[in-house]
Order: sequence, then structure tokens, then C-alpha cells
Amino acid sequence: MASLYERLGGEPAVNVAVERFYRRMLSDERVADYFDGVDMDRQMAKQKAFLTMVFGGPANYSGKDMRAAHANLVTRGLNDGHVDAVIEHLGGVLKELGAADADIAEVAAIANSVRDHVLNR
Amino acid sequence: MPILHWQDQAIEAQPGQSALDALLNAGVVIPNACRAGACQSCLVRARAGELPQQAQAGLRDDQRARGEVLACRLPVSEGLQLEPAGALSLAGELVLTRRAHPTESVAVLHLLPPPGLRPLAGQLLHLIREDGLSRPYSVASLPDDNLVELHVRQVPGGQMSTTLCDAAPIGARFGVRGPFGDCTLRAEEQDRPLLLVGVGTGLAPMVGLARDADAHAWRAPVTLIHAGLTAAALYEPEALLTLAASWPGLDWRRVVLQGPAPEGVEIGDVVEVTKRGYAAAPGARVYLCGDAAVVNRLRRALFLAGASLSALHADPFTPTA
Repeated sequence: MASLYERLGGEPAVNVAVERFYRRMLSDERVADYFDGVDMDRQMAKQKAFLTMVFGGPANYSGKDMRAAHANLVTRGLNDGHVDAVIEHLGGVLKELGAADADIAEVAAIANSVRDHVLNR
Repeated sequence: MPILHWQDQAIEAQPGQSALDALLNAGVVIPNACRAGACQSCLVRARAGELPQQAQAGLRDDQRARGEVLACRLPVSEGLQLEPAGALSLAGELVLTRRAHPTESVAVLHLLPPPGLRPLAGQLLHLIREDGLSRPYSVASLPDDNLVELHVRQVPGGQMSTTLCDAAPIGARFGVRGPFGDCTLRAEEQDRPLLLVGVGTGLAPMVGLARDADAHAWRAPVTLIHAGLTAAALYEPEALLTLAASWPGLDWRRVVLQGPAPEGVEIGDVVEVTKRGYAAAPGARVYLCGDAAVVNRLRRALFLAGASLSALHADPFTPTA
């Protein structure tokens, strides 16, 4: 069976998803502060790599990358609540794009699998 | 064994290897992360060689046109020559032909370009002084003007701005690199509204873009917002006055953060004024230029208001020592 990445429509769909996802994150006061002063283009590129991975697309984004990328944020208080917010917004975007509930659950599970890396545990 | 050229270095690669792996094996430092064409960390520029579509997927048109390419998605092939993505090529010399001072602190320069240099309105040119000092400026003119118009604010103690605004005589020559950037008109989008926002001398590319839209008989509304901290930062270049006189439909607004404001100038936050402008023309293609802090606030606010980053073009002025 085709991966969710392919079923959603491949790279063009991820481009749409990453904008919507990032817009949700920037509008959510639980997590928005962590994006202050962050270069939007670089951030979008990283989020695209992340979404490509959780959608099962052609990416080799590793736990090691996730750990290094968030180490600085953990010292600023990044915790499980923030990861929950990310997974919630991922689900919201996928629903807008017409993904099935089973796919949304699968994406949440993949995102959850890097939780400990993100939080440096 | 295919040979890959990195700047002036010849590197032996394995058949089928990606350019990224070949460069890394040879000890060249190339930032990289996803190795799948998504994160764009490994962006390089090809001087020569075959570039498959997959190696340029996700890049902007101007990047593709410059030969920029993702090293991780680029198989090594014979004749491939790569260099850092930021490497610039020298385009020749510009000759200063006219200097006007619409206000005390701003100079509008006209320069004669070397043959073959026809920058589009909104692109960037790097001017290079005799001693090698270099600064980027946005182009306010159109290719058919056969001159390059630049707007320069005189920064107290600023080396290049003092040369350009005051010290350089008519006839002075400057090196030039470029043109760069994608702050240019999409001529085929005549039915899409334009929102042009210039802060201070960030007005320059907006004048060029508005003139370009007029030259293409733009059908959708065009709004040009010129903003400054105080009225002293605003000015009215000749080309814009001429354009506004012949195009009553051009919505030209001026806004200052701190009063007093002369007649026709609004007092307010340019971010709020621009957000209202976007709400009145949703889906507009947006161009932003000027002080980096303001431009970055504008970009974020418009993105959150629903503008796609692919329709948001920003040229922030980054301060130089």
C-alpha cells in the first residue's frame, strides 16, 4: 500500500501541510514563544523534513537530529505539553487535508516515537 | 571514476554516488541534515553539468535559474562543476550619471549599466567601491529604462552611503555583482492584487514593481504603502510622482509611527496598516523591503493572516558594520 505521504499527494501536499502546521504553531500561545526570533524559512525547511518523515516520505530525519535540534529548547523548558501541542496540530492539519482517522493515529504514533529524543531523555 | 569539480578542486567520486557524499568524503564541509531533498541544508550552485529535476525540486524559480541545486539529490556525472551557493559573479561596472536628493538624507541615483546587465525591478545589485567595499541595493528601474535607479539613505558615518550620497562625482564608476533575488513581478498574474510595502528606502523596489505592473496593464488593485518611523524617513521619488499622476487607480499610502504627520500621511503601525491592506485584498502577492526588524514582523503577521510564504517576498536590510 502507498505511504500516507504518497496518498496525501507527495511533496506539493507536504508544502501545503507545513504552512498550515507552522501557522497553527505560531498562533498557539503554548508554543509560539519558542519560535521568537527564529528564521521562518529555515524553520519551514526543518518542519518540512519532519512532516515528510512522519508521513512516511523519503526522509532520513533521525532521532539524533531531533535531539540536537531541540537541546537548546529543553533548557528553556520544553516539555511533554509542548510535544502534545505539536501532535494535536499535526492531527488538525491532516484532518483539514482529508486524511483518515487511522492515518492520523499512525502519524501521531510516529511523532510520539521521537518524543524522548525531542525532550532529550 | 567520475570526476567532480568543487571550485578549483577535482574530486574522484564513486559511480552513482551523490554529490553530497562525494564532497563529504573529500573533506569538503557541506551543511546537511535530511539527505532527502527536504531540508535544503546542502544547497550548492552548479557552474556546469547535468541537473536532474529531482535535484532542484522545491527550489524557487530564481534559484533554479542561478543553477542552485541540492547536493544530496544530485548524482555525480561527468562535467559537474559545483561551488558554494552564495558565490557571486562579477557583472562589470556601473557609471554614476545623475543624483537627486528628494530629501536631505536620501539620494536617488541613476547609473549606466554595462552591456548585458538588465536587472528587473525589485532585484538586488551589489555595488563595489574601488577599495572593495560592497553593499546591496534594490533596483527601482525597469530594464527598458536603460539605466539603473537606486535609492540610498545617508547613514551617519556610513562608508558606502556617504560615497554614494555625497562624495562620488558624476561619472564615478562602481563594480557590480548581480542581479539577485526574486522580489520581481509575476507578469502573468495580472488579475492578482499586489501589496507593495517599503520601509524607508525600501520604497525603491516598490516603485519599480508598481511601474512594472503599470507597464503590464495590471487589472487587479495595486496598493503601495510607504512607511517610516517619522515623516523625515518618507520621500517622493520623481518616478513615483509621474506614475501616480498617470495612474489614478494606484493606491499609494504613507504611514509614520510617530507624528507629526504632513497632509495625506497616516500615523500608525505599518504592520496594522498592511494587515488591513491584506484583508481588503486577500490572496495578494506581497512584497516587503526595508529595515529587517520591521520586515520580519510584517512577514510573520501576513503569514498568520493567511498569506502563503510562496507569495510573500521579503528583502530585509541587514545592518552592516
